[in-house]
Amino acid sequence: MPPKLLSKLSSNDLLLVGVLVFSLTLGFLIVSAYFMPSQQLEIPRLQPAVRVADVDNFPVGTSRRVSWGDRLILVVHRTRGEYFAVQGTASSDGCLLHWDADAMRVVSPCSYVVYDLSGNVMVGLTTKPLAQYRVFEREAVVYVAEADHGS
Amino acid sequence: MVRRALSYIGSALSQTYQAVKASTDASVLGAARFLGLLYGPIDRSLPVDQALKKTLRYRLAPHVGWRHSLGGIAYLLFVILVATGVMLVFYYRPSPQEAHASVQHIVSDVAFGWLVRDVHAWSANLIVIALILHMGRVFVEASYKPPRETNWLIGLLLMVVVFLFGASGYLLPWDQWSYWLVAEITHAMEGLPLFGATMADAVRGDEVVSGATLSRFFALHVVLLPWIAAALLVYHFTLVRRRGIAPPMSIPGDAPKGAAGLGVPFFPTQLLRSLIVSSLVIAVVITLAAFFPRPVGDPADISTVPESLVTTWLLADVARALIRYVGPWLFIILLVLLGGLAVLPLFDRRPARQLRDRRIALLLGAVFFLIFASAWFAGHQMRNTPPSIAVEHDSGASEQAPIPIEPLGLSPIQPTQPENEEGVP
Amino acid sequence: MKRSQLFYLALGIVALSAVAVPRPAQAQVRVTLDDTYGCVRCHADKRQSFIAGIHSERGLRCHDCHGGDPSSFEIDAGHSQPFLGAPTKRETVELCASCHSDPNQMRQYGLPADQLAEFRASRHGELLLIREINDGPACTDCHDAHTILPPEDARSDVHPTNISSTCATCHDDAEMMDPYGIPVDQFETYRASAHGLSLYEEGNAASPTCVNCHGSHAALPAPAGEVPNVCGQCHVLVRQEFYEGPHGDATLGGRRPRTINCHRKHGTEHIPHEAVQATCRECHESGTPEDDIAGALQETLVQAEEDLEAAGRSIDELVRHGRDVTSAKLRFRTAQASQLQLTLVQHSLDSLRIEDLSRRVRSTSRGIQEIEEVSQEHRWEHKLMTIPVWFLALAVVFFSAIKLSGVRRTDE
Repeated sequence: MPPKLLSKLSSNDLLLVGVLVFSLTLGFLIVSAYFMPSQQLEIPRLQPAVRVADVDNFPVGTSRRVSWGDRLILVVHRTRGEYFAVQGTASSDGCLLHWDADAMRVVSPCSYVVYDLSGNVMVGLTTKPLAQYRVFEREAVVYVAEADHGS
Repeated sequence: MVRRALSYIGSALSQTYQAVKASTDASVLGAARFLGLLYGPIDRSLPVDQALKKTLRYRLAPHVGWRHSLGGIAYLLFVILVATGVMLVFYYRPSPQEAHASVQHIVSDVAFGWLVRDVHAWSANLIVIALILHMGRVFVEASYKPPRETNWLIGLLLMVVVFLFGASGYLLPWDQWSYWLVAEITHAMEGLPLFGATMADAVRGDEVVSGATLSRFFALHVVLLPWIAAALLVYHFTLVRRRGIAPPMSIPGDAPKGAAGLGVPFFPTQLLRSLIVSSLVIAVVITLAAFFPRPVGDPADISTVPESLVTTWLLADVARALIRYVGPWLFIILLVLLGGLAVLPLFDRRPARQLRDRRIALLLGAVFFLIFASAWFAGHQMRNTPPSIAVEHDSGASEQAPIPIEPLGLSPIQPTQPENEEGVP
Repeated sequence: MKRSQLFYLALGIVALSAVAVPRPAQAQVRVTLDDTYGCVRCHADKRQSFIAGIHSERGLRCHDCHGGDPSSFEIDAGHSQPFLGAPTKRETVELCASCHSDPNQMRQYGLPADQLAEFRASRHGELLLIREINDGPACTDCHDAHTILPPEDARSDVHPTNISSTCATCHDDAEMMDPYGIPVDQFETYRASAHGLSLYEEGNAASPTCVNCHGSHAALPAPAGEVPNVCGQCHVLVRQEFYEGPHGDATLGGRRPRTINCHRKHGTEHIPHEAVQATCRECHESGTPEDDIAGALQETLVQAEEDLEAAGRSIDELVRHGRDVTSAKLRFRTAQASQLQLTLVQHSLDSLRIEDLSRRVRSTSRGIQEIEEVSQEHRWEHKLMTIPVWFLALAVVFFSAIKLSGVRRTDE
């Protein structure tokens, strides 16, 4: 069959068929590339908890900043095994907050606002407290999760 | 040695080929005909290869021209929409929390995801244009006249189904623009007398557009409407094949079937024409997708009304304009217009096919087209206006009611305890 | 001394004590002023307003302040001595102070007992008590005579949202203020100021009112050198920066400027960054080295603001492109924090720190804009992809057309 068919086809026909086959192959390759899994879709906002640091990397009296979706969270290791996590940006102007270990307060460097570790405003030009989060340790890793609203 | 091996493989292949040919029923070609891929009648008494050759030799009527490809273009766009839609649904997540992020994922992380998504969005726009043009061509040539009345109706139903496809698919990206447009439309629906509120609730699955609406629209878009569209399409093609293409307008009444023998054969002429049109359409769609990608809006926020509603589908513009100027009556108007178009073949049964002899039909068609075009234009101008819904009683910090500044002085103050209470509680 | 004289002296002392002696601490008795209480027979309206206030809750009754005999229902008997009646302003001050200046009485309620001492130090006290001019207010002019409510009660005349209008009762009255040369525009300007808007429009009860800056009982306008400390009660970090800079030295040295030179006293406003140099020019002539510094500062501030806005626009574009902007938004936050610190540090005019902060803002914003540029490049690559697509499509069209014309020829 092939020789008979080939003799019936002119060069133009061959080119046409060739271009069509090439296009279809290209299309097939594109579709295959599309279906190949690459980067998984992870929505941080929807994850139940986010990793902060290894316990060994998180000494007492220090703080870590971690992002969870759109939110920034400040995690403080106050005394051995006792962690606090509050919103990491000031409610009034969005400034990034620091933990002042000597004075034991959460401060904003942009305006004089002082929060305690429960997120309450102690001093400052704002009345909005900080959101609180829950911190837990698992397998020697510190995690942050949503606060239990029932408690 | 090599030559022997090659000839052995060659003969084995040709034997397999013969066996396949002999065992395949010619009615398989009927399926291709249903799907609009073959035109000629299938002679099921013949073996499959001869039946195929026979049907490929079928000749179309000579007056079939480029304008008759509009239906085919619409069908091609529909196939593209189905194919890209199936590809999209592999990555899309139909929940309010994940929908927007999944679309972002498709557009930025998946290989050629942007292409699939933008081709899908542009095909949705182009198919509306192709359908309007196809319907227009059928209308102008009065191809809805007997015996093709049913097919006209099926075609109208198909158009409605495609519009519903677009409407339900519009919400799926779950961004501010989609969300608030659907909210605006269902809000307008509530304004309909008697059963407006019930209808809006049924469409939304909730009192406001929410996750329930997303699920509902997704089910419609991905499950229900494809089946309805498939059934209608198959029937549409069957009727076209059975009745044949409408005769040229100069011949009064239906031409005898024999006239079909004078035209071009399906293979290779009509097939090549279709190939030309298809490759151009595909190239145009891909170009539009690459040059004018559909922007992604901010994630839908049910409490914040956006300042501008960017519409990305033709009919969205039409709907916005109609809501703004006509309100809930838009649904009544659409119903009346579509109804009028649907019953048109019932009234226009005279053999006259020229437009000048069909004044009422011409009027109806012109009205439909004018309303459509002007509504689209007006809607397009509204792109930078916010939706017509307001979020009521939003206690955002800037919106709080000002605290009264007048001191209360000696105005009567209600005692906090009843007057006759005595002593220490 | 004769015995009868001693007797009358003792009687006199007792009579005076009846008015001047500190009241014993009241038991926490809920008293009612019902119709067995004589004063109520004629003064029912006063009763109405009194029982709404806190004195009534604490067990005080009419005769505790006004004297008289509440058991009687006749005027003469009811108004028997010791009877104060409607006290004058000075008598009012003494009367209120008789309890409110006694720490032993005020301790149980957690109330301070220094109001009288403060009042004496204030201009109001000077006017009323020392110069004996009745223009000065007494306690009841601000706190109301009978419906006395604690300051945290929103119905009280001295609640933060009401205190300014209470002050304005006199300080808005041109007739009353003219003899003292005090302007009457304070309330209006305050209301329109950032502090006023924060209090009245946003309902932020931490906003300063008249009493926060001027003091309440010890009310006096702050002298020049004290103004930065007054503002610094809330704007702590700004005050620190101010005193580190040349303006702070000047203020300590007794010269201008003070906060209110730039930010105005009652109509306190943010100075827009484009108006910084013009504000400096109110004291420094244009062309001087100080004016150059002002110009450079304004340029830095405006540039930082623009950088931040450009970064914000880039993030919006990235959202349109369908990109994930979480990390870009985080960077934006750090840039924003640096810019906020810049607006703070500018008060010290420390060019090193100002430069450093503005550089941080610029580099972070630039980083965000670069992310957007990368995304635009990708889009450009997408457009390039249409070239091979059209090449293939036109090839198909071309070869099909040739084939078609060939077929047509064989047909004919």
